[in-house]
Amino acid sequence: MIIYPKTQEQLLAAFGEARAGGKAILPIGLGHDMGGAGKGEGVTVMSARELGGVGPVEPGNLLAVAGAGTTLGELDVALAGRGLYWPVTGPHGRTLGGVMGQGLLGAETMAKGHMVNWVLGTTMLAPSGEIVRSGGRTLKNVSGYDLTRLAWRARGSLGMSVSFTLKLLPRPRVCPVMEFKVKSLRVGASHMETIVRDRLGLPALRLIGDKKGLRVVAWMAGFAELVTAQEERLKALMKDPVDLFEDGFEYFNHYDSVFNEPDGSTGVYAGTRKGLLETVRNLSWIGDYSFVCDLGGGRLALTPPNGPTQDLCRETGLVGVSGGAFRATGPLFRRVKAAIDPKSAFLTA
Amino acid sequence: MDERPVNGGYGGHERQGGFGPHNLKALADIVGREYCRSHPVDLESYSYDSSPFIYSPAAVVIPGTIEEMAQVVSLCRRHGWPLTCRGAGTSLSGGAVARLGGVMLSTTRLNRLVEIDPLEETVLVECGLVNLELQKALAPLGYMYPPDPASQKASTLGGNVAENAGGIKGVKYGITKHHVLGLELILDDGSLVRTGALKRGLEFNEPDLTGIFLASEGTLALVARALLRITPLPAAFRTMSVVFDSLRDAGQAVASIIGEGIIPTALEIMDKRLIAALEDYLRLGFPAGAEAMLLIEIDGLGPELDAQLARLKEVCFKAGAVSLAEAESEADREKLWLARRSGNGAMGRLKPGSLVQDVTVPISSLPAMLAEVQGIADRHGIVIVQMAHAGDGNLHPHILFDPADPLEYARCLKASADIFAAALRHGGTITGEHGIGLEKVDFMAVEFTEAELGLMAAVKSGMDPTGILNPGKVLPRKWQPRRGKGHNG
Repeated sequence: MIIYPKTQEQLLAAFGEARAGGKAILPIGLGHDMGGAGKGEGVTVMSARELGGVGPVEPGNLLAVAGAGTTLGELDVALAGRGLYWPVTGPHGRTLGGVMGQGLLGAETMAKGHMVNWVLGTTMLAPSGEIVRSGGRTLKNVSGYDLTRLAWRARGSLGMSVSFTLKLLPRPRVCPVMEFKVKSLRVGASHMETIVRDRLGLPALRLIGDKKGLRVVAWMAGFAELVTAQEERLKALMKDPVDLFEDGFEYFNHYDSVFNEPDGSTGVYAGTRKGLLETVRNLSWIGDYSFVCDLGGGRLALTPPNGPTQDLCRETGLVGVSGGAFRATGPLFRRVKAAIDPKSAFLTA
Repeated sequence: MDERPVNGGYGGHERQGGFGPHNLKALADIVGREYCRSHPVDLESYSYDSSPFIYSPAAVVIPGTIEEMAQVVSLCRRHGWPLTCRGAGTSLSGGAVARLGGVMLSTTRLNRLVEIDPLEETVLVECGLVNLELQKALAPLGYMYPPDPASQKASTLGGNVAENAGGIKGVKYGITKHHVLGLELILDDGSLVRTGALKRGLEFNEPDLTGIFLASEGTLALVARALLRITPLPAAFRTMSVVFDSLRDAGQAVASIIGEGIIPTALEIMDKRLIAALEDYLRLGFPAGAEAMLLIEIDGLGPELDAQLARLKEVCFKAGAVSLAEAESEADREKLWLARRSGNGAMGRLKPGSLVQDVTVPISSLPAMLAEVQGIADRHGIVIVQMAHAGDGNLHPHILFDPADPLEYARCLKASADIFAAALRHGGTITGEHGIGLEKVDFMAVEFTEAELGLMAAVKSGMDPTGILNPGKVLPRKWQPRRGKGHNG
């Protein structure tokens, strides 16, 4: 059974009830990344989905508050109308709480860094059963420890996010995508390296292979004059044929939704750009697989022609599988977990 | 506050008792005799930072390797000695003074730039590398490390990480936390751990607690090395100064610029006292009688900048700008930034002592907050010079005083408290980039609830159960671990 609290009061009541019954809490968004956790006895799964909603949006302060159950798609729609965006591109069906807990590596990681950097503040349910806030509505804040970070990649094991205050940017005036068709993975990898070394400051850079063929994808965004300059530079660097798409948001949302692991693809995290490009150069077995190689996130997402590919890492020696087992064994995590959640109120999945 | 702030010779300082020869020998055995200091002159040199607080350590060690650093930490833990880690000592909030004495660990010998990787767009640095030295190494390769605190000529990257330093470019490029990809940390028991992108392997499926150490002021662990994200240097700049008839109009212009969706590289504000002091000091040709001025810089590839500049001018005039001067050469641009960087020095001409505050408010509250700070100055009968990283709502009111006048100093402390309260009322925070340190530790209970402080205290006790790491900082006394009583100790 999954509980869907709609208010903070309901959340606190559900937490209290679960703890009184000796159950640990497993916070989820929509459950994309449960990986089998939470199905056993003694666990109460609590979804943030009903803790959604965007508002207030404050264009003058470049921020918005959004519930942890808000999907990236809902957020984007709410912000687009105000000429704003949150520079974290990812599958529109995922919730904010979910992607924070999982640690989404969106396309724009290349230019903007990790998504947690675009969170100014958090309201969360702490293991003590109290609602606490961290950060706030300012762009700079070094007051006390940054408890927002307890939500980042921790899969809800250190608390449950209730809402986030997000740092926004003006929505780019133009944001086209250029596709450069390439003949081989090796050529594609070399092109990506060339573009990075040219220091163009692109928001995202990918190599995509699917039925449409193999191509390098470069996202540009900003004022029209900047994008025109970037386009000219890219054309000078690449000798291959070009396709141009006007709306980068739409383009990336499409591919992020297609290559969303629970829908049947496997994500491989290579750790470094060098490692990722080397991996791509050596994908000799790729055959009919579709794939997205995202240089910003350091990630390769593969969709096999038939069935799941959970053995892929073992076969290839690649490291990391998103959607795989959550590893919470490091000394830092153990210390923090033991100190803030000594009674294991939240499940370490 | 129960601390005794001093400034310009006012007040006194406190000694916490010396170390016996056996203790000093144990430290010297690790770092070598030359780098273990206990002479009163040495201790005096390490007894202050850039804040008004002075506390003398009992010994100073200057390790030459990360391993030595770790051994010193381990030794301190075994003996329960307080340990304060210090970069260049540029903290403005007392983060780098040894509040309870003990051992001061200086990182200045750990200053290697280990690796620059243009493909990854990262650098690996040791904690004692000076910020500006990194910039100098990167510039010829076409890169920069954006966080540029005013102290960048001296401050170390380890210190920048520990304080989550900001700077002038924060509005467009973000602050230190936006550029830290991974850390090598020394925990309280001397063990080394790696976080984030410095930890290879199955990182993606592991919690990443890198961020909790940013702005932790050396109270949770010591930063040994950091993997930092670097950014391509912009190809072109446009810089201008804009004069206003009132500080409030200038603040309104800032809010309008951001509201219009323009993100400058830098957006700084200066009030009339500072403009006059700078003109008196540097003779830059600033208009006489200017009430307020904005320094605005945009950067990029080049072709897009003229259109942005035209839009900026339009917004400024609409907000009440009186005049506007664009830097027409690199020399002009340098002159404007020289003025901004010389603010602290110029203020010395007005009064010999100053308390530099660091509150941050949401950008839309900036005009009201600037006015409120002026009202606080008037109410207390003191002089406050206003400068701010206005683009991110970060105000640095300089509260001026004469160290020979303790009554004036007392009024300054009251004014500080009023400024903190005003910032919180406007939805802001008591520190945007200078840290809590000793200066604001008693105000934490104003900004945070008991539950929030309790959670922070739990993090602290998990990482430093015996309370040896930079004791007395960040958390109010009630929330500090009981020294020597930790469950791991």
